[in-house]
Amino acid sequence: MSIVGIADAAAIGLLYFVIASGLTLILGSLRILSLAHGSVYLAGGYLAWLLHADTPSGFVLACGAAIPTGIAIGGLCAAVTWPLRAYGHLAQALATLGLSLIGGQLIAAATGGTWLPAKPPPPLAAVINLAGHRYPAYRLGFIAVAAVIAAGLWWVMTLTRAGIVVRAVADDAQMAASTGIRPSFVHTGVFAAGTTLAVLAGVLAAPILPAGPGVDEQLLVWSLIIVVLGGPGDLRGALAASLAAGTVSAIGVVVLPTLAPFLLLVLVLVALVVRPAGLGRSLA
Amino acid sequence: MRRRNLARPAALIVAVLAVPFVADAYATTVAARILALGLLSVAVHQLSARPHLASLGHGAYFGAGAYVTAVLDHAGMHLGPVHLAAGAATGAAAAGVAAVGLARLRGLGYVLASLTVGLLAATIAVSSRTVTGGSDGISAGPPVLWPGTGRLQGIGPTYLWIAAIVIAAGLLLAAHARSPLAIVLIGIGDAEQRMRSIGYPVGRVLWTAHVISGATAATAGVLWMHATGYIAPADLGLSTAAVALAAATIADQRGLIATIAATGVLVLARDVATSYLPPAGFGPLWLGVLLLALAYAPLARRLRAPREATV
Repeated sequence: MSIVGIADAAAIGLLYFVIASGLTLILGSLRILSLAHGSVYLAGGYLAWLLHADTPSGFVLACGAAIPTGIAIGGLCAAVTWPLRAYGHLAQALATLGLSLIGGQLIAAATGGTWLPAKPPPPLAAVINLAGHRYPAYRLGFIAVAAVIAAGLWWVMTLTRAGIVVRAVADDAQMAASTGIRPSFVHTGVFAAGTTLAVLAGVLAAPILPAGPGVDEQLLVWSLIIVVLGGPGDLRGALAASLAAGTVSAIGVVVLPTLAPFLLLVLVLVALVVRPAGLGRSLA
Repeated sequence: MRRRNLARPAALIVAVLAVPFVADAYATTVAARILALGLLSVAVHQLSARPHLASLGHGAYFGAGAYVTAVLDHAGMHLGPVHLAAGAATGAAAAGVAAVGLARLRGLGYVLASLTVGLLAATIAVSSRTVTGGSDGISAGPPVLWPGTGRLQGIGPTYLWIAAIVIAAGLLLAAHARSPLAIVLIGIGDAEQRMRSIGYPVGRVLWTAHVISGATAATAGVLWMHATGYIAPADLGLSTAAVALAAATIADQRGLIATIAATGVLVLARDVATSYLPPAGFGPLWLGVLLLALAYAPLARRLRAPREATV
């Protein structure tokens, strides 16, 4: 595998991670299968297009706007799913699917339902020399930013009080509530954080994977594959699964282009057969 | 007493078969699609009502049936019964492979994994351009019912063919609902540990249920192809799977007639909204509103219910 292949695998893998980390956070901490995750990515792509993220100021503005947008959409999802917590995961999944269809149609109405082309902002639009090969600088920049996001997430979830509170509510919400933690706050906070990650991914990855028709479902598939492979709520597992899936995609596209999706299916089925207990135990 | 119990289904069968004689071509086309999608919902309902496994991945088996029909038609095999046999066998085989992993999961893990399988099938359909026509989809002509005869002409005869198969499948599944296998599945859904400790092979029973459900969903896919003459990856995506699961959820513990009727309501709501409610062409938006309303229905019921008196 050449250096370009390794960089591609890392870029695709970290792209998967940034998108899937929000879903795995929501699923692992709240036990909610948020089917709106793909549409939230589209919202990020729309933001990048709307605020002209192909200029340096527009890019900074879009990244900044991603945070309040993510918090607003996440807050809405949390408000819709919180009253349904006593009615099982199916009611919550159907509600998020309803929100996803409504959001997807609103974005399609705003953009005319076409692809939203996106270019990197000028300093990152250059092509650089990577061990004798030409390689887009934006992808290397994306790898660096995604690595910082991964490290930051791990730090927040493992070493900060906020992470401990989220894990406490995920383990035993009633016990956590009896110590003074409000589960509804954690519910809203986790949804807002997970959704913000997906919107941010939509802005950052727009030049690599622009928003367009069908992208929401495609991203939902990728995110689900990562969650199934890595284990729900397991950020380190998600990172390992993302890099593995990125490597399979990068190699598959070059070596076996027609078989690349089949390889992912085989990966998922093998994971389900080899470690069903882990997946079942964490979500039962 | 028994005759009275059979009167309602018999009247319903007559009503279903009378549609092309009393309705116009458009209504008959919509009814044919509802019957095909209704059979898909019935396939999902088999797993959601008995062992409580909510599948969002039946689009995979539905697509297997539809694509096999298109491929056979392009290869010169136009016989409808052959399409049904090949489609059901492919769907059963696909479900058999997927169930090796899926039958081990329960609850949200099952929903998650089944959705992954379903959406991956749609991704494979997009990328296998030479066989499936990629995202443009693939078309096929109406079926031939008997060797030596021509293709079915017009929506009326096609509808009657689809209705006959759905009724036959319904009767078969009604018989299956009284079989020991179905009763064991209900037992697994209600008290899996107890069934395991009594000695029932839970894994094998669930695998068999998946195979039967997969064959039913693939039969629905074959009928969808006969009804519309076209299949694209979008047809086996999340919205189709969601309509099927929503219909199965509405039907709850009721039978397959209720499941098909619920599918009819959902499809009509979506299609009628697309045609008549503003903004034009926004069917998915109204489907989204409908799914939200469906998710909130149990909450609304509870709020309306009388509360316990407090002293």
